[in-house]
Amino acid sequence: RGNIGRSWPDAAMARLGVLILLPVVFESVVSISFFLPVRTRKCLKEEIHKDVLVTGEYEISEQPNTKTNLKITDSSGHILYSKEDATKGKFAFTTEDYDMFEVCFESKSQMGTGRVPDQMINLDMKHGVEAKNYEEIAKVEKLKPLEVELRRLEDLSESIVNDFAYMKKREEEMRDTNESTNTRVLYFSIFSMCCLIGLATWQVFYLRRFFKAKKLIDTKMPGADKETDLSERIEAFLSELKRGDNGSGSIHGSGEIARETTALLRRITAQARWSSAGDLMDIIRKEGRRMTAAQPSETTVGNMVRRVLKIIREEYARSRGSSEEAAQQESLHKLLTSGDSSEENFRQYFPPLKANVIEAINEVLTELEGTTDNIAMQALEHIHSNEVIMSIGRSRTVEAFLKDAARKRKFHVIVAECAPFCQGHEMAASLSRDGIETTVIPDAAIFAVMSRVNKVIIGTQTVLANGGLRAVNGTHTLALAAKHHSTPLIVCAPMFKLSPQFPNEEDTFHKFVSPHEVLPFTEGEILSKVNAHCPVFDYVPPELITLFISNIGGNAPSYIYRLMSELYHPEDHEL
Amino acid sequence: MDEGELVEYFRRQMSQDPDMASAVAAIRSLLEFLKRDQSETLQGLRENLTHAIERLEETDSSVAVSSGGELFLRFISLTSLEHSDLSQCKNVMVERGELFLKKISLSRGKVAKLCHTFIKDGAKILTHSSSRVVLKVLENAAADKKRFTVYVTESQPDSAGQQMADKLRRLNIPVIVVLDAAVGYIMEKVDLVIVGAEGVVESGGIFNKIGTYQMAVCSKAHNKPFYVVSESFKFVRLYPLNQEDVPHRFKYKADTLKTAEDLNHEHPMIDYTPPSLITLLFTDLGVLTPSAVSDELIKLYL
Repeated sequence: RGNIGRSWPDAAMARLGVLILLPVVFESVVSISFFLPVRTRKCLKEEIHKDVLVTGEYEISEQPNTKTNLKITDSSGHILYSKEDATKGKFAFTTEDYDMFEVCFESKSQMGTGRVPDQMINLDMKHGVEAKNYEEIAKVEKLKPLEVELRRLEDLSESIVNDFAYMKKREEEMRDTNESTNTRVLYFSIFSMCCLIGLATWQVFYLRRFFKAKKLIDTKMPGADKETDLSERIEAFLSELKRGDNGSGSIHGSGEIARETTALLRRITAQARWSSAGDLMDIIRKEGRRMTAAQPSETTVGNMVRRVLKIIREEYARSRGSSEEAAQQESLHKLLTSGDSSEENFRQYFPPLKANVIEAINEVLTELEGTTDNIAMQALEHIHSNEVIMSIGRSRTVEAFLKDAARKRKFHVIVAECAPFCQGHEMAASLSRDGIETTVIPDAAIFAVMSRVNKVIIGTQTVLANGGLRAVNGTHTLALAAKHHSTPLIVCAPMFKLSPQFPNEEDTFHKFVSPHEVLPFTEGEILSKVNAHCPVFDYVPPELITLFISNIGGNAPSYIYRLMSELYHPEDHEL
Repeated sequence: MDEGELVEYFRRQMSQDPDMASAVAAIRSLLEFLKRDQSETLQGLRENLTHAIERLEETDSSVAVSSGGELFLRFISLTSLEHSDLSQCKNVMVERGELFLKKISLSRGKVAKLCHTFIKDGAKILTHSSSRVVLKVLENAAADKKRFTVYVTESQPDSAGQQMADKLRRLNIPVIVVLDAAVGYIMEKVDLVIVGAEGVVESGGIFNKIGTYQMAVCSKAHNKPFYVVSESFKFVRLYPLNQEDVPHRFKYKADTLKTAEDLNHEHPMIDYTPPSLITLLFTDLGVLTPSAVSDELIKLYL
């Protein structure tokens, strides 16, 4: 009943008093006895309500040479009762406020009186109703015992009612505190949630900006930016093509052009907006037309566009589940067996189509990477020791081919210089750097030297659909000379040079450049009287060619039609 | 439909539309025959058809009719593989047959579209005898505002070349008729040679009116391109190695075969041009090199 806090008399220790004290609910009776050592102070603290009568009785055991003081104070330091040298007695007071009251016993003695045993203190405190002395009241008011009892009951019940009122008040206070705490917690949690979200968002944006700056992630933005970026690239590529292969552009050689075209087509597939295969094919066809128009003599561009179109058709057919054969070109068989309308309009939407097409284009790119090596690998089968090989002009493919064979065989190469650009000189220099014995001859000497040649190996700009070539000028002469001497003519051409064109359109077939190479402007007098032409290409008919070596192996010219049907769809021949 | 009616129908088709290829007429008649056929089994149907084709060949012994008939038979076999029930099969066949006919009537147009780009402005073209496909090609080229001259051989014994010349004159194309014997003489003047074909064989060579072979040899000697224009239904499964290998039923007219005692005294109407002399073949399946022809035939028949 009731809590008592004990505090040790030292000033520092006094602060370590017990803090939690339940309010006094019922009247409490304290009856306690304890030992008080000499020169120590022991206090009892109690929390007492307002207007409560407190009575107490104490008894201190006698000890010689020690004096014990009793002091009762409240928290503000008012002394309510004080007694020096107390031995036995009573005290009483009424509290004015709801306060903490301290009852202290202090023993004093003269120093150096040796071991003095502790004093025993008996304390008996009563407050509230208990404190009232009913005998006295009975005597004063001349009450009968029953009345005394009634009075006592009355006081008791009153004190109970007071306590209840007090409880109710406390409860209200508690509830208010509760509510306010609740709201505060709610606000706090909302605030902390917002903080968290804000922090996370900021983090994301910051990191994104950071990675973009470090170019670790792709900087493409959705919407219009993507489109403008794409069209910028296409324009850049077109201008590269238009500038041509005069050495001023950064793209050298048809291999690089093929790779650039395919990469650009892959980008178009990835970034342009399309929903069905038909849309994609239209987009690619449109871009393809622009690209081929930029540089008509560069057929590799058109070839890669057609390859990609074929890929799209195949992937579409595969997605549809129909066999690939059905999508193939016209054949008598197809004429007879197709029951329904063969109008394939490619309008169905398939989600994985984009990924499949891009994957297939990646395969094409991988193939493109390895073409020169694949061709060069076949060199040892065709070139034998102590042979004399003739070539014309400069072809990277033939260069790689010959260098690969030179690793194991010793042979001699004769290169026709191929006027007026004389690319043959560079070829000869490059070959001789690799330790191949090379001779350079002028174009006019081709026929004269041909009788000593075992094989003629040439590159080409384009392989036409009938198996003929569009090669650098001078090649037709070389081919005729080879035919006359029955020397095999081998053409090293990667598959991307295979074009579905026929040599019928003379106006687009030939490319003419400045006749300055043929007849320099310094010869002004002659220039006014003659017409000088400088064609770049020659047509070589298929009957002069013995073998085509491409990255998929060796083929006869009469087989070209088959290779073409595998690479391109007939509807794409005209972009 | 008995065979007499069939022949009548065929003849009527030919006379109604002289521009239609004989193979198309044959296939149309056979389709009609199929529609009216009463046989219960597939085998019976095939037998009837085979007889019908034989009758047609007796009427018109051209290679085209033979190839058209064989194509039709193949069409029947392919369709019958898919459906087992005869009546259902027949419906499908009739439906597909109509579709097929529609497609092949367009084939001449496709060939002409492919070929006319090969004719350049100011070209001199040499052609042999009368071919409706070549006529279509030249028509398209003229419509494309190209200027060219045409030399036509007379092509005895039926002077078909004169008819060709008349048709060309009506199209306002300058045309000159030359003797069959003058082919070698005229070859140096021309730029390219275009001929039609009665039949295209597996090796990529062609059967055409007598005189085509020497024209091809001459053009090879002079290095002139020799182009053949033909529809795809003229492909036949034959592989002649020389002129002797050409079957008699193609070489001579049907009546000649019946009445002649010694064929050695008869003049053949067809000769065989080997593929080595042909530059390109223009068909409705695309522009083919002679080596591609066998591929097409294999796809169909095997």
